[in-house]
Amino acid sequence: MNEVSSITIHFGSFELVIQQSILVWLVVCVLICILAWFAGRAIDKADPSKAPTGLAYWSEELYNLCLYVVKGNLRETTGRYMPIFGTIMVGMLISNLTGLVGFQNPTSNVSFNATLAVMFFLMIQYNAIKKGGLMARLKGLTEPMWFLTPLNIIGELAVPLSLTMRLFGNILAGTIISLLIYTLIKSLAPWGYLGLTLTPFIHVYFDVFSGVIQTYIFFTLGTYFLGEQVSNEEI
Amino acid sequence: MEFNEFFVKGMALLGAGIAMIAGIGPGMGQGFAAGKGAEAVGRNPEASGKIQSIMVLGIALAETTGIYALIIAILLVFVKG
Repeated sequence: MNEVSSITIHFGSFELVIQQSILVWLVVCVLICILAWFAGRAIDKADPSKAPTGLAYWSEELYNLCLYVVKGNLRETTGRYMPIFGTIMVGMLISNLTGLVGFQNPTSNVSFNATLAVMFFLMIQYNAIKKGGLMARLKGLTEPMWFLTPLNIIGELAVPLSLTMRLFGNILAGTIISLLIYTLIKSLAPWGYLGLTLTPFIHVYFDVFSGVIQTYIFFTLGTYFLGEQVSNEEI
Repeated sequence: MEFNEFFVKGMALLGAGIAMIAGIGPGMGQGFAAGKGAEAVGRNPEASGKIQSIMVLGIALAETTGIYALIIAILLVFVKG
């Protein structure tokens, strides 16, 4: 873990250290912006009467993927909240997969996950209060009985914590275990290089499988709590 | 008796090991979920896609407690160890 590069910015006596994971995230942001610009242009040019091809097709499939995750929970409010969930979902999916090209995942930095989870929490509370009013929201906390209010408040506050820790723990564990395996391969050279035949499977499990599943869970839970507050339709 | 830094380090590493006993719980829970999923597919093979997605979601949720233990172990190893 000593070889993680970072940038240090000095403001007088104050030092701001930007970790490698956050640098990777900034690069991923720029890449997503460029991709989205080209995809938007391809969709503008595409002929609606024909089946989409190339980039337009891929962006439609990506949209359908995001829709598949959020639609079951948000129900009739999907159209309203789709832009933010879709954007963050694509970003998180790509940042969970950056381990495949040898960089540290942005999601293995706890501040990244906590930012998203706290943002979701504030979004849920704001939209719940906006929909039903402050009194209805506070009354909802006292159900089913008044003495359960502290437990309900703890339950609300546990949402961002569990969202953060689940993603952080999974991705960090994957990073550390693959790092340990690479260290073992290096220290057992030259026979240790045979271990390189095993590393693709490690990456498939920890980066692809774990990363995609955790993205799915993060957004399923986030949209579930939001849909519980804003949606009127029954499941 | 004085507590020197090696004692603290050793105890932190021991604590990390003990924290991972929590792995029993998620292991049992995930095995139970997978077994029930197999049972459900055996009873109703047409719904295997839906059963699989629900099972994976449940398994990943059951993992949470194990992940908390893992974070505590990692913190003990890298912060105190």
